[in-house]
Amino acid sequence: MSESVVEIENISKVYKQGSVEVHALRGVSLTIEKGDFAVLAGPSGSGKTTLLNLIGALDEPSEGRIALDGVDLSHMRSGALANLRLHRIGFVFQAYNLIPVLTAYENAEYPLLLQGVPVARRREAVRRVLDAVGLSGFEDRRPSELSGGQQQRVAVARAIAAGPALVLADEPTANLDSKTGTELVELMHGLKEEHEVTFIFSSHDPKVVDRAERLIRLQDGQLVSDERRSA
Amino acid sequence: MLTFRLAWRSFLRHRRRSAITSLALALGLAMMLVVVGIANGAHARMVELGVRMGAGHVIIDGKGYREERDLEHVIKQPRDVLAAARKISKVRAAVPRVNASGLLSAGDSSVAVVFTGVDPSIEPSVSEAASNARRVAGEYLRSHDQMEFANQPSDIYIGAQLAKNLNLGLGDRVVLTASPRGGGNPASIAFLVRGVFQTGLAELDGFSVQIPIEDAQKLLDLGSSITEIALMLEHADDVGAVVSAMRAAIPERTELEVLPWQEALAELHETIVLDDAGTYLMMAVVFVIVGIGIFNTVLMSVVERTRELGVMMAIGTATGRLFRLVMAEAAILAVIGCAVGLGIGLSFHSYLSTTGLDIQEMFGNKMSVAGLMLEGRMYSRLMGSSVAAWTVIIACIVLLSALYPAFRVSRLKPIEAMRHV
Repeated sequence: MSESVVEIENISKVYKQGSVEVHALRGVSLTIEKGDFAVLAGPSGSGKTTLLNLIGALDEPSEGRIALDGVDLSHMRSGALANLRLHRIGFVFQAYNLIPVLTAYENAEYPLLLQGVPVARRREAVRRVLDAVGLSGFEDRRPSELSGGQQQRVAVARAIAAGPALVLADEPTANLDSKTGTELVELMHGLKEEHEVTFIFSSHDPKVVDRAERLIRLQDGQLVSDERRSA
Repeated sequence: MLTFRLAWRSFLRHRRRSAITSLALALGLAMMLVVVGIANGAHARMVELGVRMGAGHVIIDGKGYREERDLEHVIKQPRDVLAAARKISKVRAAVPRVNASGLLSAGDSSVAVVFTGVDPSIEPSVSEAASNARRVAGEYLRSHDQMEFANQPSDIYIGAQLAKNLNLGLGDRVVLTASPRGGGNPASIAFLVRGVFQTGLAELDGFSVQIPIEDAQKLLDLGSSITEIALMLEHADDVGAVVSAMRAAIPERTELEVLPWQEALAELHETIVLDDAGTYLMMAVVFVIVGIGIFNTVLMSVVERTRELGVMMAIGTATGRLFRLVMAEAAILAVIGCAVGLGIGLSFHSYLSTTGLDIQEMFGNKMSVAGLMLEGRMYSRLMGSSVAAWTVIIACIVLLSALYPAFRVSRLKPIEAMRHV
C-alpha cells in the first residue's frame, strides 16, 4: 500500500529560444510514491532536469497538471510556491549549493530559521542531520573550507533537516570523484531507509543509476521506461 | 535577525570593497560638514561685520524712508519705540540714529559726506567705525552733557581718508552743512575733530562722519525725530523672532517699518544665499557621485551572487526577504560610512571651530565680500540639527541607490538565477 507524493498528469514544457520553440517535455505522466528512491535518467536534452524543476515548483508546465502531496501547483503565486518549496521540498543541486557566508551548521539550519522553528528544536535537528551525513565536528567550517563531497553532504543535511515530503537532487554527483560520488549516493540511500525520505534524482551517472530502486528513462522529452528494481 | 546576520556577513565578505565604499561615503559626509561649517562660519562673520559696519540686526525706520531717503518719513516718537525695543529680551542694544548727507568744509576744501548722528554712550559698543579697535587717533565723541562748556563746538569723528583728503588733524575746526527738513535754506554747524577711525572700507573711511545726535537733529530741523533705530541682538539667529515681536509692539498708526538685516542689507543677504546655493550645488554633485559609487558596489555584489541568490530562492527564501537583505547590506554601509564620516567631519569641525582658519594665510590677502573686508580668523559653525539632517540625507541616498539592485534581486527567477555563472 503506497501513497503518492507527486502526481504528474500529461505535462508538456515548451521553451522559446529566440524564435525557435524547444519542446523539453511532451505529455509526461508519472506518479512518485512515498519512499521512492527514483532516478530520472536520460541523455542530456532528454528533459530530466526540466521535469525535476517542474516537480520542485521552480518552473511552470506549459500544459498539464502537477500535484504535490495532493496540492495542485498550477496557478499558485510565486510567494506561495516559495513557501511550498521551503516546507515540503529539499533540494540538492549539482554544485555551489551552499550560502558561502554561512558555516556548515548555519547552512543546514537555514530552512529551519526561515520556517521559524524554535531554537531548541532547531539545534537538535541540525545536530541530528549533520551527524547523519557524517559531518559532526565540521559545524563551524565555511563552505570554502570544505571539500566538494563535504559541501554536497551539507547540502543533503540541509535538504532533509526540515523533514520535507521529498528531496530533489539534480545531478548531485556530477562534480565529485567516483569514490566520493558513491559515498554520497550510499549516504542518501541510507537516509531513505532510516528516515523514510522520498528521493528523486536526475542523473546519467552510472553510480546513481545503478543504485536506483526505480529507474525512469526519458528521451526527447518523453517517458520511455519506468522500471522498479529491488534494492 | 537572519537577514541582518546574512547582510553583515556579506558586508565582511569583501572587506576591502566594503571599506573603500564606506570610506567614500564617509569622506563625502565629512567634506560636507567641513565645507558647510566653514561657509556658515564665514557667513556669520560677514553678517556680524555687515551689521556692525552699517545697520544692525534689525532696522526700524519710517514707512517710505527706504524708498524716498527724505526727512518726511522719520520716527516721530523715538523714546516710545526705543523703550518698546529694550523690553524684548533678545535685544542687546537699541540704538537711535540720524542719517543724512551734507557737505563737510575745512578751510577752502569741501567734501560731500554721509553723516550719522549718534548717541555717543551707545555707539562704540555696537558700531565698527565707532569701536576702539578702529580708532587710529584721538578719542570718540562726547555727548553734549559731557562737554566742559555750554557753547563749545561739538565733537566730530571722521574717517582716516577723509582726514587726509581735507588735511585735518585732531582739534581742527570743520563746518557741516545740510538741507533741513522741508527744503529750507541749508544750515551749518561747526565741529572740532575729536578722533579718526579706519575700517578699511573706502565708503566709510573717505566719506563718513559721526556727530552727536542732538547736533544732527538741530542741523536738519528734526526736533526730537530720528531717522532710524538699529537693534543689535545677542544672536543673529533670533532676527525673525525679534522682528515679529517688534512689529507687534509698534502700533499700526505710527507708520514705522521693521526690517531684518536680510532686507536692510539685501546685497549681503543675496551674496550669502548665492554662496549657499553654490555650496549645495557642489555637494549635490558630490552626493550624486557617492550615490553612483554605492549603486555600482551594491549592483556588483548582487550580480556576482546571482547564482547563490537563486539557490536561496529555490530552497524557499521569499523574494521580500532577498529585497530586505540587499537593503540591509546598504543600511550597514550607510551606518558605518556615516559614523566614520561624522567622526572625521566633526574632528575637523572641532579643530576649525576652536583654532579657526587664518583668512590671510588661506587667501594670501584680505578678502572682500559684498563690500566687507574679512580678516583675522574664520571659524567653522555647525548646528546639531543640520549635522543630523545631512547625515540622514546621505543615509537616504545610500538606501535609494540600493533600491534598484534590491528590486532586481526580488524579480529573479530561481532557475535562471542558478544558471548564471
